[in-house]
Amino acid sequence: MEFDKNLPVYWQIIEIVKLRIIRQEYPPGTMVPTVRALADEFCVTSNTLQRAYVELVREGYLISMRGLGYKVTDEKRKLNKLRDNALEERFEKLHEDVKKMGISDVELCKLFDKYMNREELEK
Amino acid sequence: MLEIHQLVKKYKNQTALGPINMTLHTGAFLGLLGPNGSGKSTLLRLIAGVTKPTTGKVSWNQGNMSEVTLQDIAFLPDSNPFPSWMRVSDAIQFTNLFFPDFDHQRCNEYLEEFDLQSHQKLIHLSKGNLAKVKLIVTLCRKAKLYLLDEPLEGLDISSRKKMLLLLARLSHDQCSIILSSHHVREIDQLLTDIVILKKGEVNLQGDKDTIQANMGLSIEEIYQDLFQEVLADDFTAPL
Repeated sequence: MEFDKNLPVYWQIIEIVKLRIIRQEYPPGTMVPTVRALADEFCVTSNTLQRAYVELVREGYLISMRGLGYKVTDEKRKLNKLRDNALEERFEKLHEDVKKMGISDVELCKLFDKYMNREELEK
Repeated sequence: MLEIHQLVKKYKNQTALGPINMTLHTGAFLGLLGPNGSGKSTLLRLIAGVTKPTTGKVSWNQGNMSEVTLQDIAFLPDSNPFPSWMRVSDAIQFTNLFFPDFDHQRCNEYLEEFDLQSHQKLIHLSKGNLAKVKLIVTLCRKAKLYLLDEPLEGLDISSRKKMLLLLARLSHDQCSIILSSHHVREIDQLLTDIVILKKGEVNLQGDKDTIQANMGLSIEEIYQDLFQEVLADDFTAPL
């Protein structure tokens, strides 16, 4: 696993775990890997990984099961919010980048449609 | 918790290191960074109690360093601590004799993982394999504080990667780790704290994420910025 050396590692781990929750690699209500197992996967200290999990608990996506580990929340509303936030972040980034290229919002919509159609055709 | 207060080491009135002040909490993984001759090894030797400080104090869990507290510390020096007549198995027994916290099972697993045989004589090992044996023997102690002086020096890339994972695993068991290196990039993701030494003085120290956020640079970039200057100084110095 190569991390971006300019960003805090625990923060990057939070993003990876969120993505895994969104695509249900870690399904709602199930246990996520132990701190040790995931620290091994990312080759980081258990403190760094613990920090990421604690933050995910604070945001309400994980639930701490005292002594047993952590599980994914099964609150539908929370999980939808997680996906919506992730999408919004990415749309915002795209919108900003495109604006810098001098492309208007209307044009962006058209281009996006065209792009998606092309994707469809390629399938 | 390790506390270092106004630690100074002088050789014949010339200050080699210090003053150093730092605190290290359980679970911390500190990168002790600096080029050759910046004082990394001296600092580790002072903490390990191998060298006596000129002034200042090192304390461990609020007490002074003593033979008892030194049992909590696993020190990997940059030199070879084992006599050359020893076999790998002798080095293991030698360590076990002094430190009852030695984990034989872990040691056998690690030796196998790195394809090392316990009957091999240390003198017949390649530089890289000797470095592996030294490091494995140190990591197989269940210490509270690990002091590792350039532990990856002399290892090939695939061994370095494997060792990084073992170093990460070390952190599972409620301990603190200080690792000295001048290769910042490869250890970056393990580090929680940073001390950068420059000519025996602390140039930068603190929580890694905070330093990065404050300076807007990665630790590697900060390190490069610092020591390119040193290079430039050296070139312009009068002969």
